[in-house]
This record gives sequence, structure tokens and C-alpha cells, in this order.
Amino acid sequence: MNTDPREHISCLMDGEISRETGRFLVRRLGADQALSATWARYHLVRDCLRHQEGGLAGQSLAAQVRRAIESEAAPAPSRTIGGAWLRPAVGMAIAASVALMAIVAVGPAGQPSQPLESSLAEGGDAPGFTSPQSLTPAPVSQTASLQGAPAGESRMNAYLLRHYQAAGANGSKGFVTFVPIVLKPAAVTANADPVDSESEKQGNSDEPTQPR
Amino acid sequence: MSARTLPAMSAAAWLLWAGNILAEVSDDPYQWLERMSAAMSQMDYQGTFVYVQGDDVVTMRITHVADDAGVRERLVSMSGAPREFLRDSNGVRWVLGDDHSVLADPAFKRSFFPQLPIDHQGQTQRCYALELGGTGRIAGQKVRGVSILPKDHFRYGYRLWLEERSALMLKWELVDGERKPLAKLMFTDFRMGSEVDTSELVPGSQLKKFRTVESRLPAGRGEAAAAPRWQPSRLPPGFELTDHRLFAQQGASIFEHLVYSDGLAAVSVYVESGAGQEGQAAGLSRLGTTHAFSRLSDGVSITVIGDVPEATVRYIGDAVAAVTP
Repeated sequence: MNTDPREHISCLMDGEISRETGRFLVRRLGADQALSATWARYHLVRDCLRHQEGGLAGQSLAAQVRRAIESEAAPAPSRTIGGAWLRPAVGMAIAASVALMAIVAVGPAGQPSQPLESSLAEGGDAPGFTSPQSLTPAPVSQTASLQGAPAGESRMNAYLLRHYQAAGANGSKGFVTFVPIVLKPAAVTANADPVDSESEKQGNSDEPTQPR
Repeated sequence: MSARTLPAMSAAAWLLWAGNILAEVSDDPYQWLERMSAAMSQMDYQGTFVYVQGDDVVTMRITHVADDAGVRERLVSMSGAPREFLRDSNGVRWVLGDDHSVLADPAFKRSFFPQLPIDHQGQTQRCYALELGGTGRIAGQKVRGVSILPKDHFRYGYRLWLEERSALMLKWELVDGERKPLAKLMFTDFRMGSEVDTSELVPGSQLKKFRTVESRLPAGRGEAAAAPRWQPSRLPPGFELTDHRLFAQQGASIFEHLVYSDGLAAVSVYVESGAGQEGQAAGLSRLGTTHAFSRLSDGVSITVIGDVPEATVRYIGDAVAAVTP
């Protein structure tokens, strides 16, 4: 294949490529990060041109996607942490699944949690495309290794897997997204929000209130 | 008749059926969602999609085939670290990250795509408002929008764009209680039926060395019929207990798993003795849009997990207490 691979990508997107070449290109896309980034960029450009977002996400999403793809070339510092967790030699097989699951603590370490009502109210000014994390005060998180809590994180991931299985087993109940599976192996962090106990139950009435 | 011919025929039959009833269901969002749920599991489809959540952007390619061999799916990451997911009757195998570790879990057989088992009994309707949206075009296909919007801030909502003939989902958006988008998925190219290239189901070379993953949590159903020993004294509106498993050993050691659902969202409550001694962090954790809240109480670890806002896991977690006889 002497032609510029980018031309092939363009042809693949337009459906103007033979099935065999397309198959080859898809395999190569899986192995070549630069090429796959080009693939993603081309799609974004095409989608923006076609206005496929329909104005729902607006330009902020397109800009966010563009920024994220541009920064993808830089290795994520957390990936090493995730990779180390994944090695079978660790002996905690279930912990390996943590690489799919970026567990990010959202409570400030060692500080009493802000009341939910106020923290969520503050989140009202969040930008249009936000993650739930922005609804809380800025996190102060530590890596799991510094916390000495890998067993706890392993358990948390075992809980997650079991939750997805149980929710699916309910038949007519439960809506389980596949979000964890498509997330990149990112930072594995944990925090030490106040270990409760009874003190945190203060102010909890039995009346369901809107967490706003 | 080959195994390959059958799915093509079933897909054609599905499209014919879907096309015939389209006029009848076009104004009923429930029927659109039911058709989507069936189509996502029964039809053959293939495409590339972009998933965006926070700063995470992942481009992936999926191939889904349903034939005599059962449902087979393969997901391959097109950007970022090389990742590959293969689901078939043997379970799930994952190729993770740069070190090409391959893991398998024979018990984890769920589809990668959301299932929407909407009930008509009113539970879902109490918590969500279903609306049929307008039409549009995604990945070259005509689509119809359907919104499932939460009536309070205890749960997320969803906006879906479904291919008009088959009701296959081409775009998915997760929104919070104020209807702001939290995560988004959209196909950028898509094909279905006989157009699906099944050769893409063949796993990469990394999958030859997969190993089995086994959770160290208790397996089996446990004492499913036993009454809960721990449970929340309050729940957000609409949530009901849908599953309960109790594993109690001699002495005080217990592992209890309760599942609550509002018809769409599910929340798990885990109560486990001894877990706190293994360094489990207490407080809130986040995994994408899934939240977890943990605390220790009376020597047991209580953890609440669900694809719901953090306020919801905390609201439930704070209220979990031992049931007094």
C-alpha cells in the first residue's frame, strides 16, 4: 500500500474502498495510534460539517473532543498505575479489571464532607458538558499505593462487577450502561473521606428530599 | 442453510416487521424503547462510535452478530490504549492497556449496549417522563429521538436516537436532573444485517493467552430467601428491592448484597464484615458516571454503588442500618 494511509482512511469513511483493503486498514487502525487519532479526527470533522450533533452539544463538545484527542498522544501518568494493577502476578485477578474502571475519589481527604444539598446547589453553574465530579468541591485525592489500600480498591471493583451482573440478572429491572468498559485505563486514586460512622447520620431525616 | 444466512434472514424479517408496525408505534415512546431493546440484542450490526465523558474520549468499533451460535460481540478501541472486548457464549475476554494483559470472565455475559426493559406498570413512569423527539440523521441513517427524563435529581436521564426502521440505537446521551449532558455516544458509521462483515468478530492475537478472572466475593445465590439483616431505612422515590443475597457464616461474618431499582437505574448495597480491615477507603468514589459511597458502621463495611448521581448513593448509604428483630 503505497498511497498515503490518510487517503485510505478517507476512502474507508466514504465507503469507497474494497472490503479487503478496508479489513486491512481496520486492523492497522487498531495497532497504529497515530492513524487511529487521524481516524477519530476525520470523523469529528465530518460530523461537524454534517451538523450531526444537531445543536444538542454545541461547539463546546466538539472543542472538548478535539482537545482530548490532541492530548491523547501524551502518555497518561496514571496508566502505569493501572498497568501494574493489571499484571496477573499481582495475584488479585479481579483487581485487574480496575484498568477499565477509573475510580476517582470525589471527597476531600480528611475533611468533613460538604452537605450534599449545598454542594449540588453550587454545581448549578457548571458548564454545559460536565461530569458529576464537578458538582463537588475540588477533590484532594491520593494514589492507591500511597494509601496502602489496594485491597480496598480490589474489593470495590469486585463490587462493581457484581453490581453489573446483578442488575442485569433482574430481568425486567435495571439499566446498566457500558460506560466502565469503554473508559480508558486512567488514574486509580482513592481518598479517605471521613470514615463514618454514626456521626454522619446527623441530619438524615426519613423524608426523601431533593438532593439539590 | 448456513449459520450466516439465518441472521441475515432474521434481520430482514425484523426490518419487514418493524417497517410494517412503524406507523403504529411512531407516537409511542414505550414501543420505540421496546423495539430498541429487542433490536440491540437480536439484530446484526456493526459500526464505529465515539464516546465522550468528561475529558475521556474513546473511539471504538463494535461488531454484533446474533445467530445459531448465540450472541457474539467484539469491541475494539480505535484510539488511546489498545483494548479489545469479545463477548460470546464463553463469557467476556478483555485485552487491556499497553501491556496486552488479557483477562476473561466467564460469568460476565452482559451486552455492551444498554438494555431498556421498560415496564408498563407505572414504576418507570413515576420517576421518568418519556417523550418522543424529532427526526434527524446520524451516520447516514434516519433517526427518531426518544427522551427518558428524570423527574427528580436522584437519577439520570437518557436521550436516545433510534434508527427509524429497526429502532437500533445510533446515539445515546446521559443527562442529569437538570438535563445537562454528562456523557455521550454517537455512531459515526453504521451498517446492519447482511452488510455486517463478520470477519471482524475474529479476536486479535492477544486473546490467545487469556486467563480467567474470578471474583473473591462469595459466589452463588446464597440465602436468597432470607430476610435482609441490613437495609436502608429510606430510599429515593420509586426505588424498590429487586434482588437480595445473603451469605452468612458461623459467627458474625456476613456478606449481604441488596439490589434496588426504579425500573431503569439500579443501585447495589453491599454489607460485609471484615472488609474495613483490608484498607477499604471510606467516602465517595466515581467511575465515569457510576458512583460509590462507602462507610464503616458497627464493624461492617457498607458500600452503595450505582449508575446514579453521587447524592443518591450517599442518601442510601447513610441510611443503611442493621435490621432490629
